[in-house]
Amino acid sequence: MHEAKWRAVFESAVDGIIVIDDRGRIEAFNGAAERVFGYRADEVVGQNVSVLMPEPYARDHDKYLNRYLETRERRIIGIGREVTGRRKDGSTFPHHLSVGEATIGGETKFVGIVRDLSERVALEAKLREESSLARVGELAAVLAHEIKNPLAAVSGAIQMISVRFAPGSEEQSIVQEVLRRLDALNDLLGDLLLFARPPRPNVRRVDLPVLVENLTGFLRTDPGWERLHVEVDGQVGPVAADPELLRIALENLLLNAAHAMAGNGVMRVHFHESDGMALVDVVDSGPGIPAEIRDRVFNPFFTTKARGTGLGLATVRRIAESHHGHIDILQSSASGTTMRLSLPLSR
Amino acid sequence: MLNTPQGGENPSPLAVLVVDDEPLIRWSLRDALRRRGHQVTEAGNAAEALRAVESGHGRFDVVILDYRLPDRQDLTLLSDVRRLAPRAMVCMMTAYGDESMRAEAFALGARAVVEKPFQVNAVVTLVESGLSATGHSNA
Repeated sequence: MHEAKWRAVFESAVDGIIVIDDRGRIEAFNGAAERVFGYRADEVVGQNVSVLMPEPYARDHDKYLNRYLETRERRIIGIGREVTGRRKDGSTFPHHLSVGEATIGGETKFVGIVRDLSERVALEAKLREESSLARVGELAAVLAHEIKNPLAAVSGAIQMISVRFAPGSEEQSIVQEVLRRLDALNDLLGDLLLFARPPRPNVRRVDLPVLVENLTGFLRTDPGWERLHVEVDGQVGPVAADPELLRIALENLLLNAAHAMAGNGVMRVHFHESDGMALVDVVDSGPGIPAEIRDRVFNPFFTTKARGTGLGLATVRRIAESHHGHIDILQSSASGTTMRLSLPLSR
Repeated sequence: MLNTPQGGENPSPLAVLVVDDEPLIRWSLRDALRRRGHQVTEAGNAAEALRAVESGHGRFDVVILDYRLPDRQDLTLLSDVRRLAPRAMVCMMTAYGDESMRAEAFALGARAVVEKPFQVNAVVTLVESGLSATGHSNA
């Protein structure tokens, strides 16, 4: 084949192709490699191939190459395996690399074929997380139910002991406090069960602004939130959702925002639509979520609050996903955070 | 939290069978029901419950039945009680209830399904109002 034909084959390959010489210098870098690594060919041709690797592989690559040329002992050449690459922006990603050896005009060349595995690895991680969540959920559900029975026994007995004390007596008030603690314990078990085994959505057409209006109305009447001001604006069509599950998700989102602001300041709830999705942006004026914990705030049992269960936002995510929607941190800075709940619009 | 039933006037006495393996639950329901003038019989498992129902000869107005007992962990006891005492209103109690279990219990003739833990007096009120709703006058 002519050079032009080889060039066309090289450029049309779906996988990245990188040709290096026996000192590791890049001689050719096809279009797929450009897309995978984020470099243009003219930026890397002539450079050592180690520029495409994170440390410590980058540092040791020349050594590997020299050892191979001396000993002919194959570690990757002629074989191929999963390795970590480094993109132009410094981020790393998993890819499968197979390397072949060729002699062209008496010179040794190595041809690397690169297949990006980011999506597959991310999918595997998601499946692993889902299966471990399902196991945690099963365990939590069994525990919650097993605890409810003795809790019912204690609560029932205390209720009937309480009627034996005179109204207004110290014993009576202590017993009422005990009952309140038992109620709180039962609420916690309820949260745990909701997270562990969210019911299958009983889908209807739900008007999000009405739902939020009811919730913010409730917040406004709560003396604990009297210094909190909630502004609601924007418009959005109805969504196909379970109204009760959605109410729980939105309540968790609003309470989370209110807590972030320590109950003081202006919270904004903004409705809009995009690409068939209803979007609810909850904007707080709190101190923001530190970057290092942002990818963990939706994990179950992760909390920054002294008395939090860490189930609120995890439950929001479970409910959003069970409706084919999602919850994201749109932005977070020292002046506040925007959480976005996305749900499919009702057709 | 008020711990005396809200009904005010005492209703006409009902014969109630309370079935639960947890003695504290039996005690609290018995205590609350007796305070309202009702007669209470207790059973700690399914076998005792069936013996009580069979020897009761249709005496029970109400059976309060736990879903999970040492010798029965399903709704077959509900079916047996409904067959042996068709006149009795059955109220299920459960710490394990989900929607399908509730639907099945209602389909088998339960009049109510109460989630554990519960307000004891709410159960007493339910028992009293449930019977009046079926025409068994408690006035």
